[in-house]
Amino acid sequence: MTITKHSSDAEIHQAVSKWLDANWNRAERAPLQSGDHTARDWLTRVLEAGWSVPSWSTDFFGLGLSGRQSLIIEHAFNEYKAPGAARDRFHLGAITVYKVGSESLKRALLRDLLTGPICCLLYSEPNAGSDLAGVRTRAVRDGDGYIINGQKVWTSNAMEAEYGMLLARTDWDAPKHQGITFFLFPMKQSGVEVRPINQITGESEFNEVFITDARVSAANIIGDVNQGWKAFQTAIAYERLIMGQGVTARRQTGTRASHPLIRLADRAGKLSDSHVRQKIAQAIAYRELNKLNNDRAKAEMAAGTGLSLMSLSKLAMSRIQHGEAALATELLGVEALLDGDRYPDARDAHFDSAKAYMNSIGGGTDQIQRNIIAEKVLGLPKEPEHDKGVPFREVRIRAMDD
Amino acid sequence: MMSTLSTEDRESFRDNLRRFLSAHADISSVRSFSEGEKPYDPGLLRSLVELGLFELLVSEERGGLGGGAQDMVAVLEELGRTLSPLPILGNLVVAPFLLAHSEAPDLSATINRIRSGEISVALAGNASFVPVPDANMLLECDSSSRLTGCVSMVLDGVYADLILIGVEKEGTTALYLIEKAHLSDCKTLATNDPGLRLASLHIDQAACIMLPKPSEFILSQSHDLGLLAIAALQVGGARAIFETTIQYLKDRYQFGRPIGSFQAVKHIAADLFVELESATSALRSAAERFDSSPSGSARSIALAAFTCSDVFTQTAAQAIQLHGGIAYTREHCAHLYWRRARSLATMYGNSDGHRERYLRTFEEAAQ
Repeated sequence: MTITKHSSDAEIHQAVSKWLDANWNRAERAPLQSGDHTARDWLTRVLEAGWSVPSWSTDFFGLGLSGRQSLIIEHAFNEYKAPGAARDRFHLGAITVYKVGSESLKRALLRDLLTGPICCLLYSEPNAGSDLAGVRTRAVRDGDGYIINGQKVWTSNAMEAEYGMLLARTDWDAPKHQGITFFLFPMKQSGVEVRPINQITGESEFNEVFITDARVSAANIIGDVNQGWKAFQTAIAYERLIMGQGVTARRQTGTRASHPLIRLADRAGKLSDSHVRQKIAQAIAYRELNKLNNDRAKAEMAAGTGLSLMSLSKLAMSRIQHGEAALATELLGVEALLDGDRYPDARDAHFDSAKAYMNSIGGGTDQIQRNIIAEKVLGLPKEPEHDKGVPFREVRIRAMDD
Repeated sequence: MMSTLSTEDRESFRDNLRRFLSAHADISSVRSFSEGEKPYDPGLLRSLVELGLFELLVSEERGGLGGGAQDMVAVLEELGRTLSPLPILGNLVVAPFLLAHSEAPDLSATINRIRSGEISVALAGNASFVPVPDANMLLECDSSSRLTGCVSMVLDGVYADLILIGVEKEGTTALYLIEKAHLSDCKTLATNDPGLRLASLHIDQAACIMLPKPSEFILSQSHDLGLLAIAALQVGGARAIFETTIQYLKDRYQFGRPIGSFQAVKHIAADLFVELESATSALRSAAERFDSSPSGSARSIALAAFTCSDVFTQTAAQAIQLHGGIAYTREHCAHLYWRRARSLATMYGNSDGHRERYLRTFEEAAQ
């Protein structure tokens, strides 16, 4: 049976389950039938069956389903522990190309992207963090392509990625937002060096990327030359949306019957302390409220409104993560001086306390998020900008430029 | 309490009400009644009756609109914006619910007088459905159904024609209906919120109707409905003063630019907006839960209760701060919202109590 937006929920569920039964070995968490050896083979199978990006149009590997219908497919894949679904929610590179890429770029690259690893994000630089439009990585026209030189930082998945979404400057005489081009940049080439960053959590999920005389085809421009900032807005909006759903959290604490903070307070003998009880209740509430906001945002998005709600959850998530970690640390008392696998509660509290900064800094700091909410949603005016309308090559980047 | 109204019907009722209120219940008209001699605007009450407000929650069998908690919170969000003094808990929410579910034989005449706006009702006593309970009340009912004693802190008691008294004693709750005319004395108490008047009632051998004792389930539902009603008024009030404040941040210039362009100011606005939307989500989800499963909605209602209470007190307080000196004057409306926020925050218990109740639902579920 062909699944369309007119199919019932039961029909969708039945079709995807039947397909998974025929193609996926649940016990071994591997594809059924021989011939599939690589991840790309499996992802191709998922793509061709229509499960990869079900909310997209049928012209581009989709089924034209609603967000709600697509979730049925995502849940079925999760239940079977099969990878490859919901790439229309999480593959930022593919989503951006689909939403703002040219027809020819979509035809040329979407299939490749959707059957490969997710793209890395070549945005931040040592001198372009919160002021991301201040990127100084240089793209110079050379024949049918561009030569890239520069340094990027805070890049996840840079080792695995086959493509990176690259912000690079193509016009130094235009004001900062108007001289940027957005490229789909091939990572597997000489001239691209990836160095892991040692993070305060003890992890190394981010990297520095040094780009020296690397090449990218002009056909790989997302949007138009010097109009990269506009195309980039789509990519960053989806990234923040994903962060607000809390997928970066080390573990989902949720609102289960017995909450980890309640158990921790109980073990510490503090569960009868009314001050502690108030703090735990509020911590649980913030997480539940964010979920309720996200649910309402989805419902309102389906009705064509609710964009403003979507912008709130990443900021809300910062308070949730920092708050839960601080409370866990407080509950541990002197045990919080310890660390390591022999003291898992203390270890987790320290890890979560450090990891919370990933949400409150990454993808736009809380302060930048507040600016966005105040300016884009509430309509408050921007601060005066000293670099507004100034050719980028004249914009100062450090105090000694004075 | 299933709603029989569709989402479209609810939203159109809300839109009509909002249009009407913005034309007829702006803050200056509210001020003249809340600070003047008359405790409320009888014309406004009449118009709201004509709009069908008091028919909203009356069941279809009784000829009402058959609305549920979701419909109630939608209209109360709108009424909450205006701060208008109105007998909301008595005429719209709690008293009609208790009377409609009473096993007393002949209350329909009374119910009809309430929904037609002919009489207004106040809630008094120490029972859980009373928004401002009086712990020190002394009331005795003799064998011939005559009440004697004193009950204070009666919300809307100044102008109510009928008083529904709930007396909780040794775990059971007795209900009495007494006509204003039968009171021996009614004293207005000075309040910090001029729009919410409290009264102290003295009763001496007064005739009353003693209603059959309601079930625990009906009592807890009327308490929860009251909580939801207060939460909706809080969200409406918070949203109104928030919008007023945002507009001021755009209009007021200092240092040659709108004060809303300063990050120190706009970040407060952004944080308040997160709280406001969270409270709105909590309120609507709690009402939806209550409609689909009243006995399974304790957690959602507790969450809405403290979240909405906190958001109104916080938003109204920050509104004064963000306006600066102008809001320190009586002429500006910000202090009216601030007073209302502080009043509503003490009805049906405080937000710390609701937070405690919320936490207990997790502990009970885990047992």
